[in-house]
Amino acid sequence: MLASIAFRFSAGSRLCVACRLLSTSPCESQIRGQVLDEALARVPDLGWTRSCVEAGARTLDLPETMADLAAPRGGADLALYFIDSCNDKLEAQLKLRSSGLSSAGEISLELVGFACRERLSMIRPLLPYWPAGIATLTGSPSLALESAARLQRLADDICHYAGDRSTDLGWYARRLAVGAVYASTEAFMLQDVSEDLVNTWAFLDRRINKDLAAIRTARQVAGGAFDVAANMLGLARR
Amino acid sequence: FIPKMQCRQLLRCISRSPATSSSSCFGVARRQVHQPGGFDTSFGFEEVEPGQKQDRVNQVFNPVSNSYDVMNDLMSAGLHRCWKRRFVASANPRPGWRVVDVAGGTGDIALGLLEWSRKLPGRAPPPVRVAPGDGSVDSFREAAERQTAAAEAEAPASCTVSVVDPSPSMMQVGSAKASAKGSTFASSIQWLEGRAESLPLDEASSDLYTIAFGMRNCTDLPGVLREAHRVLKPYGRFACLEFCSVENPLLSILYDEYSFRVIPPMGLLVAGDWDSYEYLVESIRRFPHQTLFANMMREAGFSAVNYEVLWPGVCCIHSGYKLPSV
Repeated sequence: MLASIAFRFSAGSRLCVACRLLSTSPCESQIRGQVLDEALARVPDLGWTRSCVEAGARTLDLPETMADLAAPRGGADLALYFIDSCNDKLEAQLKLRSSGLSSAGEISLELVGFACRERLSMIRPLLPYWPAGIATLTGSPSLALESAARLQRLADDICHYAGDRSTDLGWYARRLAVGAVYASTEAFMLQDVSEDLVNTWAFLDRRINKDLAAIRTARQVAGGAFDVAANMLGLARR
Repeated sequence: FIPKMQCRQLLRCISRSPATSSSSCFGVARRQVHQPGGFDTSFGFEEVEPGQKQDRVNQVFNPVSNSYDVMNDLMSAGLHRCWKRRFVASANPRPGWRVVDVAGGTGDIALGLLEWSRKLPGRAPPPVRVAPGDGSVDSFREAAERQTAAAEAEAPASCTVSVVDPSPSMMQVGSAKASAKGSTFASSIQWLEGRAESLPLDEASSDLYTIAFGMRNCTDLPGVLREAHRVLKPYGRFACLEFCSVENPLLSILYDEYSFRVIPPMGLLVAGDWDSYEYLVESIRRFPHQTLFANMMREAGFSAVNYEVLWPGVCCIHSGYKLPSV
């Protein structure tokens, strides 16, 4: 059971936890994409709500049932769609810029910075309304799980295209670290009032050059914890 | 007074060990009745001819109609109200929609749909503007009523529901409930006698098709789904609330014991009818698995088919949309 929860958690947007989508015909996903894209244009007026999705459907001359199809859980599905479409756009950009492979577990900090900057810039058009969007995702445990899965998918994509092909414990630590960098910078950005968000970019640079640079290899990440455990069990060797 | 034969049934049920209870014979018919010619369909664990099933179903529902709601409350410890409310919220009927509710005899769902569309969350009532008058509470109330009536006259305030049910006695219970709620409710519901396989409605006439706890009583599931597809407008929605196969092994054991040991005796004591409630729990077991039913919906032409399992895991809501064929 724990394994299945972990699998669902790591699958990100590819698997719905609460509402299991068994198959998606092209017509249905097309309608969903069109309705939600129109709805995102109306978020400044109507917020992250079901009526916003209905307004989007109305623009396309579709009845309200299509709003239910596109967003069964209302504003939360709209926010999740926004996150997913930004993640998809980022992945497309990263594919073009991905650096060489590295099995030693080193990732290109420059690419991580580029990816985070790009991804955060995608939020800028809706920045004043994004705190409300995040709030819709805290409504229930299943929604919280899904939004955490999106962050995990984002961190995975960034690490993968930054060159991480390691197969040891550091895999998890690196993704956790990149996820933490992104999440903390996003939180900073939501309350940043500086001109052209210069403070946010400075914050991002500090996080990457200080925190991420400190976690370079698996040995350093896991070594500290292992040493403590070994000492406690009396297995330490000099 | 409990008849002697049913007393014996009661004692046998209570004293039966778990190994021999019918739950462990899942999928195996206990009483095999083969009819010459024609294919057999299931009536609980009994095999019957398709033509006979509808009569047998009517025999189950006509006598229990008066105590149906009370028994529902007892059997599910009131949970069926939560499931139905969740079903109505998920179906989300808007004002002005035409809804067809199949096998909704006692009107739970129909009344729920009407109330939901009248009081859609997020829809504010129109503001009342009162001219400066004597400022008394009565004048304000009168002005408010006048303005609400005027607003309702120009735009529909709720959906309209057509309830289709093969059992007239169940619908009598339902229409009595609707009248008790008020004329606005009673006038928005139409009670039609008919079967799910051949609805007395025009093609492409409904925005929403709902069926709650009625699908397992239907003889021909693909036929019901085809008929639902016919009756729905393009972009219309199909929603089905029904008991499902329990995935959790521990819950499954508890559920089986409860279904076969507690429900028929409860039916006997409260409604005076052991067989109807035994039929009920058996028909739940014979209903296809939720993924199989979802595939049947896709074969009937529905898109965006998915299901949502409700707590504690014994029933689920299947949902699909009739997208226009390009």
